Amino acid sequence: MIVEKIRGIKPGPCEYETVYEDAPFRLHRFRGEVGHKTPVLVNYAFINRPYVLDLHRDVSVIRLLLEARLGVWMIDWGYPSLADRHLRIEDYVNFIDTCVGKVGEHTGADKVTLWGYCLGSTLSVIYASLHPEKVRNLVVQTPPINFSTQNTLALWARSIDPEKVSRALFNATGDFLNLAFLLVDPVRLVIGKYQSLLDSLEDEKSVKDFFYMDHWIFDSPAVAGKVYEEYITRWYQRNEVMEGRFTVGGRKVDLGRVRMPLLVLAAARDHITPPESVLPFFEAVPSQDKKMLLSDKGHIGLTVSRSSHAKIWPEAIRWVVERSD
Amino acid sequence: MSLSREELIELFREAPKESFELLLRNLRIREHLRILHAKHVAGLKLSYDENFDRIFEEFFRFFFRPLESAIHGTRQLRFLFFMFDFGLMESQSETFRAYSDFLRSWLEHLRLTSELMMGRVLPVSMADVFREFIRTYRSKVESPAMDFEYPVEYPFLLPKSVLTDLERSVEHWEKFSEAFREYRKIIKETYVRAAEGFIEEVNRRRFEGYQEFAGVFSEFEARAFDELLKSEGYLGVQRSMLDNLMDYIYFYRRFSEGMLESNPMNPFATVSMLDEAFKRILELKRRVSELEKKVSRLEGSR
Repeated sequence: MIVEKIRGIKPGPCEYETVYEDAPFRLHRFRGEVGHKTPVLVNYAFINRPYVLDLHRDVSVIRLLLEARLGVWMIDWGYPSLADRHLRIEDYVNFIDTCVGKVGEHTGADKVTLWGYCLGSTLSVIYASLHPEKVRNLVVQTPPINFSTQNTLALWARSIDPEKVSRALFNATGDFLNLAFLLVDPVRLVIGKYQSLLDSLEDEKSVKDFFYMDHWIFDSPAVAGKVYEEYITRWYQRNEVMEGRFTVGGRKVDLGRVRMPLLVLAAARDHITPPESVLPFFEAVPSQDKKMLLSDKGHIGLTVSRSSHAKIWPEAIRWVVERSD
Repeated sequence: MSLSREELIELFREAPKESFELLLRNLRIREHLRILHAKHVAGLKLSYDENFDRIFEEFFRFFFRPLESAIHGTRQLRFLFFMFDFGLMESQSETFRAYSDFLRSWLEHLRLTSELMMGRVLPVSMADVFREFIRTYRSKVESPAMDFEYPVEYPFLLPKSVLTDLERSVEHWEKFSEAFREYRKIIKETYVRAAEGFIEEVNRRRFEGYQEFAGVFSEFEARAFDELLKSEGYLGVQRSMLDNLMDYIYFYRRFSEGMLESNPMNPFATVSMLDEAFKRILELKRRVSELEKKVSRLEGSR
């Protein structure tokens, strides 16, 4: 029975403790032996849940980092509620700074390897440009920095009025966002994917992998209303980060200050953040030690596919380890 | 492969509801695709038939449902609370008629009770007072120009903004419904056009295996939607639908909140009041955080 194959699916095999909380945000520290000086602070997108990096043992990026004896910390942006509707992107950037401080208090490190994923990359790039002295290395995974792209999602984002959404719904709800993410490629995501599952119901591993992923996909937090407005208007519609016009607390985000070692992980078949979302950024930053690894997978496949775990991740982890002492 | 009823019930308990729904719909899509494939293998020429229409309905139900429930408005309440009669809530005239009936029965109750009690509990000298009371109020209830004629007075009971909000919500609901009809039309046209391309292809070639047959169908549809979803026409319709849906929700909520806020006996805070309070709390929190940083910097410089 299919249900026997998926009963008790529980993502997140790596153990962690929560060391700081400022609702709805939290900072977690993963348990493991630490053998390198610079801790890794993982900053996932506020649009989904961060455990995709630790979905299950076979495809856990967190496990790889821990096995490399890196100290791993993770920001959890939580599930914003009505009480959080007026949060701004600035509050997210400030929380990263708080977390860098907390990591320093616990480890004695004055710098971190900041690891951004998807929209967490955008926040990480902003933070690295404002506080370069606190970022030893910057890793950005499927990063949307240049929002002036021609993929369907970007075209849609440029054609909507986010203030109307925020005014009506308060927060952009998880269901609302999920509909949009499925509708950008409806045939492949609603028919193709499920027909493939029906073709492989006898294969326990495929069924398990499928439901691990679907549990994560549909565990969608809302995006705080005012953050949603800024994200659509300032990033997608005005491309402020790439064009050097984005400000945080009156300070301009200048990509020219991203001089620390930089690793970019991009996916060739990414329909959410295609490679052109990062190429102009990669070329623009003055870092002398920068590298890009390109996977042949999609936005999520880069993280959870077994082929990426065989090809991309060993090299990415090695790059971080070499710059962590 | 199909799943038994027992398996599906168990799966509903374990899987995310969205995965369950999409799996169920794909099982039905598969049945129709298998029928089409069987026809193809039997050497019959395919044409656009009800199997393609059923696939379309299963495919887009997931996306159309939330929009249709917004169009149907109170009908979704009927679905959720099927034991309740929402007719009374939907129609003001029925509410006032019921209120008038209540007043009449109340007066009858007073008249009959006073007659019953007269001479026993109440002194006989009170009889005239009761008769006068009942006569006066009956004439008010039954007169066309009675004091209780609320429907005429109703627009003046509430602040004008409340009625304006209701008017605007209806306006946006109409525009949203119109945009949704257009949206459904262009989605269906795209689907049918791609299905016709697929039919032409399978009538020209032979696909023995079901998976290849189904894969070609998906590819034809996927390519057609890739093109549609980026087109100017689609973006315009989608924007109109989303804007008007959001405005409809917003103005209807403002109308409902206005009704509550205008009633001095209303004991509840509205969600907009809470939103404003949360905004002020967050602003205070930011100021406290700034002050803490300043204090910390000053202490560090000593």
